[in-house]
Amino acid sequence: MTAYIIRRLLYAIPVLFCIILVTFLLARSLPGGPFDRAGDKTLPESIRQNLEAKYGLDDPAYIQFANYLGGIVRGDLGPSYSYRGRSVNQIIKESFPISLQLGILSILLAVIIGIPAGIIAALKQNTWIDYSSSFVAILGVSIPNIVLGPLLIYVVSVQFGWLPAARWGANYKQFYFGWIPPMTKDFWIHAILPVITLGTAFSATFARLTRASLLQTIREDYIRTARAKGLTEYGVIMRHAMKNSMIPVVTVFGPLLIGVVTGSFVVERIFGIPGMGEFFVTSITNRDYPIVLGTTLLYSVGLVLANIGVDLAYAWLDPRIRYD
Amino acid sequence: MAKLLEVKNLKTQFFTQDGVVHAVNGISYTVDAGETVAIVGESGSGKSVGVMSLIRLIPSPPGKIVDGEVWFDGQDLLKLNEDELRHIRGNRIAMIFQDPMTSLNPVLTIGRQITEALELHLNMNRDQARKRAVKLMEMVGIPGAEARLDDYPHQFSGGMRQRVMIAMGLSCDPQLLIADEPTTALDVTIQAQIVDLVNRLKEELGMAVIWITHDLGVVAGMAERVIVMYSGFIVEESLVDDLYANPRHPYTLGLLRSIPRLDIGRQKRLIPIDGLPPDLLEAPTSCPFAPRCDFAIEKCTQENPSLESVGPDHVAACWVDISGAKVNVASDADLTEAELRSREDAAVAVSSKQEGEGA
Repeated sequence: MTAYIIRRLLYAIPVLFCIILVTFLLARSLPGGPFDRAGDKTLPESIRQNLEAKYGLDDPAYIQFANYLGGIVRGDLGPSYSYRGRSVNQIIKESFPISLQLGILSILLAVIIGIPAGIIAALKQNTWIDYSSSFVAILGVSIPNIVLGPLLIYVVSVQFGWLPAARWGANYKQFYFGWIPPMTKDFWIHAILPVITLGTAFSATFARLTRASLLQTIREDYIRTARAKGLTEYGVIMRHAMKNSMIPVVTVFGPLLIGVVTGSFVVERIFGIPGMGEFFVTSITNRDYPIVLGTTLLYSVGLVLANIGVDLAYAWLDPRIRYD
Repeated sequence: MAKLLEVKNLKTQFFTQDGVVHAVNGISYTVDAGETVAIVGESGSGKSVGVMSLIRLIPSPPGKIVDGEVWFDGQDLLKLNEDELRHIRGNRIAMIFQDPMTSLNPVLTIGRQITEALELHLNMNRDQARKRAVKLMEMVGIPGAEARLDDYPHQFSGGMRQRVMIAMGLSCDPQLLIADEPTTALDVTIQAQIVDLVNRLKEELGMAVIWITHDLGVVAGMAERVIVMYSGFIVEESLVDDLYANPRHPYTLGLLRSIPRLDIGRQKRLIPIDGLPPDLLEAPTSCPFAPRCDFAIEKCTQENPSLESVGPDHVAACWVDISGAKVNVASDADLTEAELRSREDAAVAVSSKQEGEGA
C-alpha cells in the first residue's frame, strides 16, 4: 500500500510539470501584460520596461520558465505583480485557509444533510417523502449561489438582522497550525450564511447520488440474504447496503472537495470573504502570471491528492479492489 | 409426523405498470418436521415467489401477498408483525439462494456474515460467534476454516460460497431450511456435493427442507415428497417414487420425458414440452397448461381443474386420466394416439409459419 502511494505520488510529478507548462504558455499567450496600465492610466513605456526588467519579464520565455521551476523547487511561487510587495506564497497563506474553512464546512453540511436525505428517499421510494426530498434536491441544485446568497443576506441579515451580512470572522494570524480557525462566536456567526449558500447545492448533489446508488444496491441478492437472516431494516441498510453504495458518492466527493476548498469566487464575492477565489479570477485579468500559476498549481496538487484519496477509499469500501 | 408448516391458499401477486402478475394462485401444502419436500417447475412457475412469501421476503412494492395463511409452529407468519417475523427469519426458518456469487455481500468478510445471525438470534458475543462460525464452516466442509474466516466472498469458489451460504443458513439450527435452487448456478460435480451435504446435515440436525429446483434428477435423490408447480398453481403432489412411476398430470409427464437418460439409446431425441408458459398477467380461468397439453379435451379450455386425490398421498389437477401414459418413451410407437396427433399438428403449424415467413 505504501509503495502504491509513493508510486502514485511520483506519477504526479510529470502531470504537474505538464500543467505548469501549459498554464505558463497559456498565460503568456494572452495579449497584453501585467504593467500595461496603472489604474485608468497607461504607464509610460520606460517605466513599463523597468518594471518588466525588475521581474525578469524581458528574459526569453524558456529562461523565465526555468526560473519559475527553480522557484517551485525551493518552495517559492514568486512575487505578485498586481499586489505589490506581497509574494504569492503570502497571498496563499492568508487567503487559502479561509477558503479551506468555508469549503470544508460547506461540504460537511452537504454530507450531513445530503446523505441521510438520500437514504431516506431511497428507503421510502415513491412515497411523498421521496418526492418532497427529490423536489428539494432539484431546487437545491437549480438555485444558483448568486441567487441564494443575496436572498439569505436580504432576509436573515437585512430584514431580521440576525447574522452579519459579510466578512469572515477570523484572519490568518488567529489560525492554529496556519489553517484551523479559532472557535469563536464571531467566527461562527460569519460562517453560517456563506456555508449554507455553498453547502445547499452540494447537499442536493449528494442526496441524489446517494438515493440512486442505494436504490440500486438494495435490489441486490445479498440484501435479500441479509433480510432472510432476520436483521432489522436499519441493520440491513447500514451494514449491508451503505458501504456498497458509497462508491459513486466518494467518486464525486474528492474533486468536489478540492474545487470548493480552493475558493468559490461567487460566494466569496457575495459575502466579502477574503478567500482565494478572488485571486483565481482577478489574476487572469491582471495578467498576474505568478498568481495564475500559483493558484492553478495549488488546485492541481489538491486534485491529484484527492484522486489518490478517492482510490484509497475505494479499496477500503470494496475489498475486491486492491493496490499492491 | 407433526406438521411443521402448513400453507393454506397462499396467493401472491405483483402490481406492476403492465397489470397484475398472478405469480402464486392459491397454493396449499404441508411440510412435516424433518421431511424433505421438493418443489419443481419451470422458470416463472411461482416456485421461488411461493417460498419467499412464507417469510415475507417478497419485494414490496410491487409484490403483495393478497391472501392465505402460513402456519408455522402454531402461528400464522403472515399475521406477525415485522419484529416477531424477524425472530423467525434466519433463526427457525433459514433460506439459501440460487446464486452464491451474488447472494453474499462482497464487502463483508465471510466470518462477519456468518456471525451476525448468531449474535442476533443466539445472543452470542463476538468470540463465541466466531468459534461457532469456525465449527459451522468445518461442518459444511470448508478446509482451513479458521484461517478463511476473515476472507471475503470473492476469495472463494462458487461451490465454497454455496457452502458458506449453507453454513449461514444452519447457524441457528433452524427447524426448516428453504433452499431456492441452490445447485442451479453450480457445475454438476459440485451440485452432487451440495446435495449430499444438505442430505447429511438434514439427517444430523433433523430439520425439514423445502428444496426448490427445476431438475427432477436432483429431486429423486433427496426428496420424500414432490410438489409440481405450473403457472402459479400446484398441479400435482405425490410421494417421490409414485410420481416418477405414475405421473398423473401431463406437465409432470412432460418434465419426466424431457430428462436425458443413460438407459435409453442415444438415437432417440428428448421429447420437449411444446409452447411457452402462459402470460401471468391474465387471471387464469381455464387449465393453464391446456394450450401445451397433448391430452387436452374441450373441458380443459373452459374450466380450471382443482387438485383431486388420484391415489394414496397423491393429488393431481387434471380433467383427463393419463395413468396409462409411459414415461420411458423409446420410440414414437410408444406415444398415445392423442400425443402423436398433437405433435403432427405442431409440426404442420411450424412449417406453415416458416413458409409464411419465407414468402
